Amino acid sequence: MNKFSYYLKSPWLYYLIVVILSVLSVVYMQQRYTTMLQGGAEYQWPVKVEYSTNWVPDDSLTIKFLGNKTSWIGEKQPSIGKPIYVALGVQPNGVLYVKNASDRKPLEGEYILATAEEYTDGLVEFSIPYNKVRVNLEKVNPIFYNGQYKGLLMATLKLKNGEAVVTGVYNQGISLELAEPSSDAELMNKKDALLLPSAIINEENKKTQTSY
Amino acid sequence: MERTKLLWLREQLEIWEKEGIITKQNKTDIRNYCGKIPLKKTPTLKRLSLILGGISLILLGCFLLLAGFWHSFSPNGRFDIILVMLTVVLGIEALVLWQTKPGSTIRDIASIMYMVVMLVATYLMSDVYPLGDINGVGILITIVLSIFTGYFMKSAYVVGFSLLLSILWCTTSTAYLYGAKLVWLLILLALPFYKNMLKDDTYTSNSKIFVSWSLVMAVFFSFFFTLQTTGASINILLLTNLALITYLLGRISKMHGLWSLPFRSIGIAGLLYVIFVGTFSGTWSDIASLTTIHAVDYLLAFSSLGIIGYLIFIVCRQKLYLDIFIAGFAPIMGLCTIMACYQIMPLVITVLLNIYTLVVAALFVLAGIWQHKSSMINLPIIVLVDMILARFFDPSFTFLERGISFITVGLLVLIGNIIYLWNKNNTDQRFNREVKKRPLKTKNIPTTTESEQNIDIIDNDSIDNDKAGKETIDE
Repeated sequence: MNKFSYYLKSPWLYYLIVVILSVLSVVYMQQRYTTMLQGGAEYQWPVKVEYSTNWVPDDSLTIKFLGNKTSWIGEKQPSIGKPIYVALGVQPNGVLYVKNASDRKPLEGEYILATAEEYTDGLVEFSIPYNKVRVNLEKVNPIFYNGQYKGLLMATLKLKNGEAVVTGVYNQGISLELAEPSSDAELMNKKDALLLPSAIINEENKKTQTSY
Repeated sequence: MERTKLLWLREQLEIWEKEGIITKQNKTDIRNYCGKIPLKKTPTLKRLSLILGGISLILLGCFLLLAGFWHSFSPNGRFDIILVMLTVVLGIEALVLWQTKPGSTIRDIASIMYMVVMLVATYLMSDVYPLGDINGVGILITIVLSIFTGYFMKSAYVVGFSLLLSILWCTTSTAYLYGAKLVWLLILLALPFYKNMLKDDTYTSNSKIFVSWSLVMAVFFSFFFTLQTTGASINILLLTNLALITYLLGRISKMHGLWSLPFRSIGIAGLLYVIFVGTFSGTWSDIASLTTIHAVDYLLAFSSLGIIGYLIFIVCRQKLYLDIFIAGFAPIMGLCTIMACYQIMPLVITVLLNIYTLVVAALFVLAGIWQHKSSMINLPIIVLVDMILARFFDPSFTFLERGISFITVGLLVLIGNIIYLWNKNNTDQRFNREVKKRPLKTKNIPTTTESEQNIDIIDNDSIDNDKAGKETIDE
């Protein structure tokens, strides 16, 4: 008993606990990501990609999820900059669409955690924080991410308990590293075949007309 | 005698000897009387800053080297680098734990270094394996592990920084998702350390004060965070009670050390904020428009009132009667809240609060004059400035009314200041005139005639001793 209490008072015991917990915590952070990457169903979401130049060289693209505005069904108004739950529906082809947003976790169906950006007239605009995809930038055509590309890209992502991991970005089914950007004329012909929610396409068209 | 005083005296003795105010023998006697200058066991703040600065620069250099090539490594390679970083810092920590004694500065440095590396490691992990929130989970892990490190390394600073980091954590979306409970748990985790630290002499006074500041700030931020996440309805009453509990705890612990200063300062700052907000009629209109008040709010309000009651009992035992009036803000705020709930005009409530505030301020002024303590008069002045500033933003007064009242108060302050300075200047001049009448002329070691001339300035005993010393040598 005395020996036990001696060890219990020893700082080395607590040091050992801290060592184990320090290593376990980084392993946990790795496993949290890789487990999501390996399991569960994969969905698609129409996106745009951007590259932000940081002072540290980066090998990932920032994803902007399209159709990021929906009706708010929460009890109170959303707090701007705070997390909200976005309920998602899945089309037969695996493309996700936004149903509504709330401050409470949906009881059934898929959902994703997002950040409230703006709230007007019962509509909330949100951003999704799971917005990084690692690519080989040397192989990706810069037109895709420098704001010139008018076509829609599709991101594949895995969802679990509101968290998501983006597994890749595709242009007409081809990985961004291998794909070539389509011309404007090709885009006009193929737009109807994308099977995206019409609201997203219309909204995107409006933005494109204003931007270019 | 204190080290700083002795250092000052050492310099002065040389000057006095040169000026002829004292003899060499006097200097030796004074030195012997005052004793040796105690050597510093811990490095000075300047040296500590230099050490920390040097270590930080080395770490930053390593970071820059790593940053340039970071993304050229594979994710697994980056993970390995992070593990190496952690192993190195944990190794340093083990070495320090083995070689140094509790309370040493090196332990503090090693613990803080562990904290920084852990923070960087978790940040890099969230960069390699991105899962939304920048580093909410990483910061949480760092706080918990750093507090543990503080326990076994006996490092107060790392616990203090962990508490400050918990304030930063409150701003992450992870904290918002987990709720306020977790922040309070973090504070509870640090509380046993704080309790033991106050009794333990191995910790320096500075470290105790630092942890006190961190703890009180963390408690206040957590409280605001709780109000924000839970949507509490009677915030002003709850905040008043928290501020008063903090202040009273600081007051009753004042005699135990300077570590109680943060409690008093932040408690009073909280109370000033409450007075500021309470003087707006809009605050009470908002409470009047509430449809329901949560049961948790009632529970918190009554339990905090109970704690204040107990603290007042201790305050009375310590004969700090004036603080009872400050504690009186709790029932007054409670009364104001009840009045607001019963739809009584907000103007009446603000008038009631203002009157009570002015009465307490006047009592402090009178007590300050009575006890000749200028510090007691400062508090009412701050309270008055607080109340005046509140009117600057008060929409219930017109711009004309606010403008004229501000100009009037500003002129009064200036006139008061001019009178005070004029009076002070007169006193100083009178003092200087008296000093000029008896100037110090001696430059050399006082001889018989000069020492007789300056006998009223130089300490008589020292001259006698000097003469006695000479006589002894002659004999």
